[in-house]
Amino acid sequence: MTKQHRKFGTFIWTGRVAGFDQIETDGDFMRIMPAVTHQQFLHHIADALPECAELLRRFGALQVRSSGTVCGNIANASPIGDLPPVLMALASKIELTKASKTRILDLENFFLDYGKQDRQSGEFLSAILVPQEPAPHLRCYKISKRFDQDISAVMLAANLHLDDGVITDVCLAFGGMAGIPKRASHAEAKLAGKPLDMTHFKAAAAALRDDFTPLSDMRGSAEYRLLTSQNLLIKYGLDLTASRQMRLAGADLAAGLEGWS
Amino acid sequence: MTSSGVDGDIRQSKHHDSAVKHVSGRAVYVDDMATPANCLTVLIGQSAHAHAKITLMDLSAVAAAPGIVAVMTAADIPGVNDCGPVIHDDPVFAVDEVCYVGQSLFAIAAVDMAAARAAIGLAVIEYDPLPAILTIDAAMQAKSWLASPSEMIKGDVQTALTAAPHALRGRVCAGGQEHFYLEGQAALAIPGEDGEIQLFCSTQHPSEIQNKTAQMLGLANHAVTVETRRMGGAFGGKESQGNLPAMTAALAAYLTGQPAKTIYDRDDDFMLTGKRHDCRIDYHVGFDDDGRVLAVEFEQALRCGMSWDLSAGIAARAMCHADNAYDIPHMKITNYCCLTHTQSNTAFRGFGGPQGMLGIERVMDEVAHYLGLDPLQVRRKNFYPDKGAAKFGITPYGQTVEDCVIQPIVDELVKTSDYVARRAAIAAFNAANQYVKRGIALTPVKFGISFNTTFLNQAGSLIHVYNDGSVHLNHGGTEMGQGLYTKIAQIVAHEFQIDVDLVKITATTTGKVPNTSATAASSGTDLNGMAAMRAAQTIKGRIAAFLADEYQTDQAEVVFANGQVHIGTDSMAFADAVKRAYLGRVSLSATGFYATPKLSWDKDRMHGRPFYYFAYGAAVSEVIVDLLTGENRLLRADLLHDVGKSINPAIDMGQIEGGFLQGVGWLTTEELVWDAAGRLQTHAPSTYKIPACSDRPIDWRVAFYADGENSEDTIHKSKAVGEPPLMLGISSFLALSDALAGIKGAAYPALDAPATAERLLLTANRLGANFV
Repeated sequence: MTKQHRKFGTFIWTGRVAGFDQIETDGDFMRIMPAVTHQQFLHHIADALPECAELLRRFGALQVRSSGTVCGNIANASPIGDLPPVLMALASKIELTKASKTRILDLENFFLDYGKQDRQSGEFLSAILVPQEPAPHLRCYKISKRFDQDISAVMLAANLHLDDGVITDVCLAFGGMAGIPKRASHAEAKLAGKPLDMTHFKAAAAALRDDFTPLSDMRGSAEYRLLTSQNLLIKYGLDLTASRQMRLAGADLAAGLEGWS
Repeated sequence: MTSSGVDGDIRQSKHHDSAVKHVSGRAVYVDDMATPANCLTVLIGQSAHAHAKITLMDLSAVAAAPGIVAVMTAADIPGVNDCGPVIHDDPVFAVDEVCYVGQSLFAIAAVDMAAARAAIGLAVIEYDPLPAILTIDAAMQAKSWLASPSEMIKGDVQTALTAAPHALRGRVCAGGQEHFYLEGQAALAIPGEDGEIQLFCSTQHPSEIQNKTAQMLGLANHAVTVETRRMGGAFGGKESQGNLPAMTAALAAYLTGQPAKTIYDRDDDFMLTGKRHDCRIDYHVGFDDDGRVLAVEFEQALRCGMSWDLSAGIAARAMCHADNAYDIPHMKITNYCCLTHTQSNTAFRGFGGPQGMLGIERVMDEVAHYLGLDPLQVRRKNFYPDKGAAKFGITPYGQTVEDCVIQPIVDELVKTSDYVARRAAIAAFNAANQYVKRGIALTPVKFGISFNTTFLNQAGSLIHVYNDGSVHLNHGGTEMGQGLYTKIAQIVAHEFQIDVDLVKITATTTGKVPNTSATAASSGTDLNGMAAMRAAQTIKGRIAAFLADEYQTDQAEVVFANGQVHIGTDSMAFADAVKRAYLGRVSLSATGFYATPKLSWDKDRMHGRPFYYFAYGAAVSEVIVDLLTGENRLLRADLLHDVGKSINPAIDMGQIEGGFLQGVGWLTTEELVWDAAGRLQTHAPSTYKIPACSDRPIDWRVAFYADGENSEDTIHKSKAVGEPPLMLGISSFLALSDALAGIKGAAYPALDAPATAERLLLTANRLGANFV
């Protein structure tokens, strides 16, 4: 192919298979078919999931977003893909199909190890199932050298539910911190069952050391990846507890800089 | 002289002559040119080691692969195996030893790129690795230098440092910068009769490619012709680095008798070519309570890579800009050209000036921090005296600064940018916010215009006027998107007083104007504009003399104005005058030549007048930094720059905007990373980040210094504008540093460049911004 000049025997172009470019409603889920592009997905979720839409806006340029697909971003299983953490934080499932057989698994269980997924020979990713329910506490933090058109050094997608002021179903899904997109279970444990209070976000940040031993590469050092990840948990806490979001990316900063803390 | 009736006259914002073609994809670059069916594709085999003996190079499998027409090594070169621009230390193909990862070992000529790519990996190369020196620190420790350090001395720095009320020492490091021209290196060679070669190259320096190609092939220069219509960006990266692609294409054409082209893809371009020199600058500064700087000693270390390339000139310019706009009584600048086993670093917009300037701007900033003063106040204390002053300042290299306008520029910018009120507002903001900090900085630029090397300051032109009154313009300058061709056409249109559309812009070629200098050092318009004006004046003079004779009047009675030629009370269209001159057997073709006056330079003493004049400007940048992530935004930038009397305001404005943002990129997001084995890890846009359009300042205000006028007799009193605005970007870097200085209880940030989000976060962390 273009970059590595690799040669492949046979290609099957699925981009124009009937129905593959559809986003359907499937019970409580939206069903993202294999050829749905980032741009299509962005439009579809712009109102319901603005955090995810803003993240998608930072993917490449319009031309690239209109070419790359959501399922491709998952099936590629890159540890630095941005959509896997987001879709994990939304408790998405994926559907794998081989001939007439399909099976469904939680997205987070698809990624086994670096370069290894729970996909059998002959199976293809036939759909992603994203819950339709609103996600008011979803936040997506993409940390890269440049805001737009860059690959993340660290990506955090965080989500939780509040049940009577108590945190439940917390998911802190990271990209760039391990060989696969991965949840921070130790950090999550510091938040689960706790009230929405900065003390617990700080405890979660401290616990992150037990979750990850990141690598150094040209996108960022291990030290930076860990520190910024810990800080992102602080930022998540601030975003949920303070009156406004504190993000420099994409935000209309010209509108005013007051009210930060 | 009135000029209102001439479309595209000087001072008019005529759009770039190829603007429509650029945006519609119809501008032809080298790789777009139609080639004969038998045209070969050349691909260069590269070294896998930073430093090693080559123990075996077996290319038999490559040669036997399908579609391979020729395999070329040093043994196939009939003449000189060298592509170095100044010193002959840069082999076209490595012999015995390799000195960087990516170095050219051999090249193949194939029927197409697919065949070339499939074959190149079949080469069997064995190495015996040698110790490699990769970094400035390692080179300084090992005294691995291209030559002994050079010194520039003004006054008695040691005595002054000892006597100064305050002194401090510090260090600033800045990374290199990839040129990232949109069009990669490209060359097409077409063999002619009797060993002649015609080359079409994306180069800033056709004459050098002509010269180097002739040497390589053992030919006289007259056998090689090099043509350049345009480049898709160059930024200094095609001043010398275009030699290798051109020479490999030429060698393939010479050996096979078939046309051949060498087009680097982006990864190869990154791996093969040199970049801006990264630097390490140590300083020792003495100053008084008011911030008057009394003495500075600099040690500048530049990473040159594995050969000289243009590093001697770059080092000289770094030294010549260590004072920037400041009149410092005692200075000593020592420069080390570090020899490392990495790409041979090369010209890049500013040519060492940015590194030199970064050093002194950092000094001003740290002195202010030490004294608890606004850095602007310290800068103002130290500016060179104004051009109207009773006594001028003298640079560390002995040039009198006679044309300084930095004080009025800064005064105006302080007002228009509302600097004082904004600095106060930022201080209040920073006191009230712990997770985000804002910062502001104003930095000046004084940039010397002319090649440091005196003999390069010459240019030629060739103009034909055809008997229908249309004009063919040619000169030695090359077009890299900067708008040179457009400006020169305007100068010629002005001279003949005809619409610029009557002036045909033609490709630069060594066949029309010989022995040219590179289009570099911001000098393109200054040099070629003068040469073109003189050629036009020669032809005008002949027409005027002829008509004066016909009308039995004085030549002074013949006036060219608004498309007409007036002879006393009579007048005729320019085309009619031309036709009459033609029928009267007058030569309507002329060359023009220009050599910049007043220059002298003693490179051994680092002393003289290397610059005809200085270009000035200043910028205020304001930034915001997120201390949790290091993410940051450029909130506002106000630029005020002196272009003298602009020949084309729209084009000059574009140069200021683009230069500034390229400077910001150098100091912020553009990070080159080599691994421990000396392999460049960031060799594509996926990992190397030039500013995107969304990185431009949210509020961006750019203006010309309204009173600008060149004190010297330059072309229509304009000033060079290619490089100087790049250094306005230093304001953004120091604004980021200022934001970090806003951390409660912080020491001086001593920020290094590039100030990536990572570096900002880790620096903030070191300064006490800890939240976990």
